[in-house]
Amino acid sequence: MNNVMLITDAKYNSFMGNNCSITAIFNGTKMSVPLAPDNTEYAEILRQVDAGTLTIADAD
Amino acid sequence: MSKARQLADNGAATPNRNMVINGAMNVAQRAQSVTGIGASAGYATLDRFNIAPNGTAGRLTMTQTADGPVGFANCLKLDCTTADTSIAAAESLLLETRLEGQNLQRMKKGTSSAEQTTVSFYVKGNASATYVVELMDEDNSYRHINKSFAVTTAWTRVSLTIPGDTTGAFGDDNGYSLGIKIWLHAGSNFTSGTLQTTWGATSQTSRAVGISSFFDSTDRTFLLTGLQFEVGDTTPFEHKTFAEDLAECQRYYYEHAAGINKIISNAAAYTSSSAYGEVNFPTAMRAEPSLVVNEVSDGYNFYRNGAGDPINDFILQGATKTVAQLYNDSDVSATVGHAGFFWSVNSNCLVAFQSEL
Repeated sequence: MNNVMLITDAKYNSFMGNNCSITAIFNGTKMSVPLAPDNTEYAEILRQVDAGTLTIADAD
Repeated sequence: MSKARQLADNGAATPNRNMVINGAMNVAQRAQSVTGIGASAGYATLDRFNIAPNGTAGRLTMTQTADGPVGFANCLKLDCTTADTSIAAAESLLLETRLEGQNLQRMKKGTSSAEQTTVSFYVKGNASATYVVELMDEDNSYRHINKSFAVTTAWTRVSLTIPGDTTGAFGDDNGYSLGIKIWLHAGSNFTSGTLQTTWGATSQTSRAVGISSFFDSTDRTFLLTGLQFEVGDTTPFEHKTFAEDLAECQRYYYEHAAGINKIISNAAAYTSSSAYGEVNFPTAMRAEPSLVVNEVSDGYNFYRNGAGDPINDFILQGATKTVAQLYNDSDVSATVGHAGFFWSVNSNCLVAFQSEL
């Protein structure tokens, strides 16, 4: 059972027009997360997006 | 009988038998002491040891402390700084370490040959208390087994025998398969049943029956070291060199640069407003890691062509298990093609990589 992560300010980063990572605040810590399924923070982002509790802003 | 033969006979001569990483509490890359823990879960001080509170007003300080039993230089210490004696049903506080399935195959879990295992550790507190160790199978609908243990004011080695579980194999992969969790505080949602002392299906009310509350007083302390999880009976703790412990921890968290005047990477201006650099990891990480950065106003610099651009933070462009590329495209003003390097210029700087379970 995983702990609940409070994720805020999620936003895609892009390189050459393609999304390459997501920057967000996780329980108060800023992280930049790769789009990798084995990455724990990315898996939690996807879970919260699927649950409708998190939205990821588009890259600039 | 020779000493070597005695050690071999009881398994103590077998290397890598301890499936717990940093069990001697020697590695604390993030910090040696963090105060005010209790509002949210996370890794604060000692590598591989996660604090998981839920719903409690209690707060604690977590410290790597030089107070171990003979033969141990360090221990993990929890010190209650805000008590919580009004325990709501859903409240909890757990100290846990998480293990990869590919490192647990020796347990033969989910087969008719499933092995007995043992959890052992040294523990003490400010006063007598009872807590619970839980093994939770994250691969098979959270099957679990729970064993209570006593804490006194003297260092005591606790040894808990875990029968083999013939149900539910662990994935042979880099995923989170088993949690070793110590229940330190719990509401009735977790205490109102009968303690689950054999492997069984999830029963929330059977997870922490009969425990004391770590948050019952600001006098309360909990000290732990020498955590070992092994197949078979208890053997002497398997000490490792600091370099071995650190390398194993760096699979999950790697502190690359912390503080002032630290090299971060070589870098080059890709455009007039962006610069990119690469960081190689000292050991392959469990998965492509996240980049952890302390954002500090003008805390970093991109030095090139005899001058520097102050920058506030970095973003991850991409990563493999052995290398990451980071960049800044919000503070850089450079000439395309200029090469240089990223450098920290503030004591609050931090660049780290995390691949925790």
